[in-house]
Amino acid sequence: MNDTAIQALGLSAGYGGREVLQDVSLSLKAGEILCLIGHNGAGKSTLLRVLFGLHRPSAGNMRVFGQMPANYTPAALGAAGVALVPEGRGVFPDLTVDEIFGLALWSAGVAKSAQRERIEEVLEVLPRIREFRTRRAGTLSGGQQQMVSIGRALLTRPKVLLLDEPSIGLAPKLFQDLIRPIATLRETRGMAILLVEQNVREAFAISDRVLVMRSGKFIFEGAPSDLDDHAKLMELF
Amino acid sequence: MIAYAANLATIVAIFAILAATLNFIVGYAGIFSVAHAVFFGLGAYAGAQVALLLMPDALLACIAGAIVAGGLSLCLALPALRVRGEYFVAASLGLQMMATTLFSEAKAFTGGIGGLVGIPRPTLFGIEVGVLPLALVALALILFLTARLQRGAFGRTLQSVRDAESAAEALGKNVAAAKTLAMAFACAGAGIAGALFALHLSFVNVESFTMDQSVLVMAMVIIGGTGTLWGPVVGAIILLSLPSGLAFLPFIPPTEVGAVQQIIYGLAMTLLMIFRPAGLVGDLSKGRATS
Repeated sequence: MNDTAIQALGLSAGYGGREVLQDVSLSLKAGEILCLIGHNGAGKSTLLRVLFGLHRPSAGNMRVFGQMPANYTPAALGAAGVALVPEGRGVFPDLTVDEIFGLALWSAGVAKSAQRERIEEVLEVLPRIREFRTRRAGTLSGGQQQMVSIGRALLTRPKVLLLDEPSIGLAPKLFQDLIRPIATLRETRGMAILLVEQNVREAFAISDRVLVMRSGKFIFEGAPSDLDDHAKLMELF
Repeated sequence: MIAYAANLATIVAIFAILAATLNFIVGYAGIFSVAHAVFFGLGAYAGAQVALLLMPDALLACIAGAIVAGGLSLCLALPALRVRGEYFVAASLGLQMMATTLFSEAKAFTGGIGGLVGIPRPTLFGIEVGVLPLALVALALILFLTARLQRGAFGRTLQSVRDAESAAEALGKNVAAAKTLAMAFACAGAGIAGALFALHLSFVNVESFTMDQSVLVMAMVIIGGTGTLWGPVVGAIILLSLPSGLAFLPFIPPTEVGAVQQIIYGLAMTLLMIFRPAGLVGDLSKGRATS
């Protein structure tokens, strides 16, 4: 199997005639954690939306494990193994955690007989979810909601996980507790992770590679250690 | 007296259709439109034109009303896909104001301010029928379809869009298609109500399709219970029976009935929002209405 999880070439996209992504190319290998940083409005979330099929690119194409998706829709890209954890939790406040998981499994077309096993897999990675499975998501803390959102994405057994600023509103320690089990999935399952983050220190600690984005273009690519120099990071950011 | 009761029942049934279809987008899809009277009007004018120009067949008039209103629902769907919440309310308000002006000016289709008069009595397959049974059948059909759609995959998708659009997108739901289809269904239903309204009154003009009417229908949905199957029907019964009931109270002068009615509406809405925010049929325990 092709070990390049996502290969995007020349992606451009925008809103109402304003180009937000400009001829962006990236490759993400299986088992790699790629951290994408940039100031607000740089185009990071738009890139994730394009990679998940929520926003159609005006130019360019992408391959998932060497295959062109049947079309640029979340359903087609989800079937190809891509999952998105959107910015701002993305949970249904009136549903319990179990109901959210049930809805996710139903949406992904997972057979009832396989659903319990899928949920157990997620609970192995994020065991603290067991403590609040029967509670409504709207009553959970920010960290718990983020856990549910990530757990929901993992239920589909993704090969590529797109995480959009999972640390928003979380204390650094809480973010560490949340992200480290996810990071282990690259070793245990060979999962590729594209992590959009503002919390640079925590994100760099688990990332293999860093991309810096400004005004819809990549302006830096390298190892996290290349940005140890605070002045250089500030200059790019 | 029987004729009066039958007339009231017909109007209640027609407005119950209107409220039930508005509830479909407000309660299940979370799209707060204050332009539902526009689609009610489009259906009424389309149904009236069919009856005046072709034949007064109720089925044909309802189909025409549904097609015209459902087709033009894109006017509402397009802003709904771009903006949410209070921004969409403002966009639908703009549509309502624009449509009221168009209804007044497009004389060839609407008859202008004078409206369309002399709409013949409805028939069904050549036999003259009353509008009440037709409206009751249409209401039953709309409620049945709403219940079916709400319990199925489409309903779950709509509710996920309502509760958390970004989460629905992350589940791979086609949010744009769900909103557009919901809007088309609701507006087509409003078009059917409009066609029946035109056939019942034998006369339609722009005054029945103004902002006030949209607000009245929204009040029916909220008072009955948004996101419930029977709430809008209960809301329609209460809000339309109330003025009729007041007219029979001997101590209220006939000239003051309108003012008293407005005070009671306002008071009822305020008290309801304080004590039963989920509406009369809504589930208080959940804080959100359920069917």
